[in-house]
Amino acid sequence: MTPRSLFFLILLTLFSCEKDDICLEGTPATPRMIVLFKDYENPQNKKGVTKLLIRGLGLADSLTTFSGDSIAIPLRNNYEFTQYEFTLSTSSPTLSDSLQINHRQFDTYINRACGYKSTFIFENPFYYELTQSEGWIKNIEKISDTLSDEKKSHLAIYH
Amino acid sequence: MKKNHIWLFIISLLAPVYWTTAQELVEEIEEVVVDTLKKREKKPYTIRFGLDLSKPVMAQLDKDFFGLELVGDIRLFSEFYGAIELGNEKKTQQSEQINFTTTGSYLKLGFDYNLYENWKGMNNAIYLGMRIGNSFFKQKVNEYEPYQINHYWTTEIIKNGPEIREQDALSARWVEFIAGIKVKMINNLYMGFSIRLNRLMNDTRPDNFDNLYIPGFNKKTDENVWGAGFNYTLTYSIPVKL
Repeated sequence: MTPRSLFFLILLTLFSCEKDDICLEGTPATPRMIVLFKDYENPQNKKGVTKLLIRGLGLADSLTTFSGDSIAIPLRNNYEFTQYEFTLSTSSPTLSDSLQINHRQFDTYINRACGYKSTFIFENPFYYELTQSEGWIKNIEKISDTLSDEKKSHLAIYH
Repeated sequence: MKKNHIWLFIISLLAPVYWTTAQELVEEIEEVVVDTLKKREKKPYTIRFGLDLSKPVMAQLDKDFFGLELVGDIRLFSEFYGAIELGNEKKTQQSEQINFTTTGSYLKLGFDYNLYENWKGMNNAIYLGMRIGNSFFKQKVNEYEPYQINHYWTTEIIKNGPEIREQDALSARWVEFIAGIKVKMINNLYMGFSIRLNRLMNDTRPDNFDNLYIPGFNKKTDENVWGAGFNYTLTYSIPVKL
């Protein structure tokens, strides 16, 4: 190989693209809190909710209007708590419960493109009921202490 | 602190230069005796030293970068040159989600082989070379944005916390493959340009972070152990006729 061709070969490698600037889809991100809805009378059984309006306190837009028995809810990064209002719009009068989830976090380095991801740990106590009046939620239990992924459930709401 | 480092580099570069000139005087005397037997025309020994011009220029353009690299080479025999690069860098950069600062020094030692056939008395070069690179540095995470898929809550940038910290006593070793040119401008002044392909051998990584940038090696990617670099040198040569 002549020196000139080697020179250009090295020059080429200098300006070649790099893959690792894009955080690949499927990389585990900061997990959301997986909430299960269960039956208060039969704690073993799941009991779905219909048209449950979930809204972060202080935010104008709601997260979702949800029907089903388990949902992933994002927790607030860099804050020690996250506040949500759960409104059951099918009941009349509409029943609403506001909860404060208490948590701390630690961050783990993933790679160059994705940076860090957060892992949440429930504090003690892990929640406060913010509404005084009777709501639709009867009881709340934590299923795991650490929110490291979205593969298993973290919180159970009995109603 | 920064000034101390600069002086340390200048002094540490000059010291071996003076040492080698003294050594060559001794060799000179020995060579004279040999030459009477061999009757071979010897090329003059040359020592070149100077600095990388690209780093001060980049430091002017980018306020988040400071860099200095001193370079030197000496003709050992025929077309082989021993070569050295000494550098110091401080670079703050935003890499996707993380803002971090790398501060450190490096030393590269190796050789160049000249492929260019000079006319008598000329000392230009088109060369290939190799270096062993050593870097000692520290990494500081300034701020970062945790990776989240859902952005229902406003995205937070973490500026305080256990990961916002500086980690020192980090090091890296690598091998460089070099192609470059050196051209005489006036008198004993040379301009040089080289491009470098770096292969990382090993590095000590900071806890819960990575060496995204290594002084001397430059950008380190996740995917492979290869990196790249270049320098643009201005050097002054001292010919030592034998």
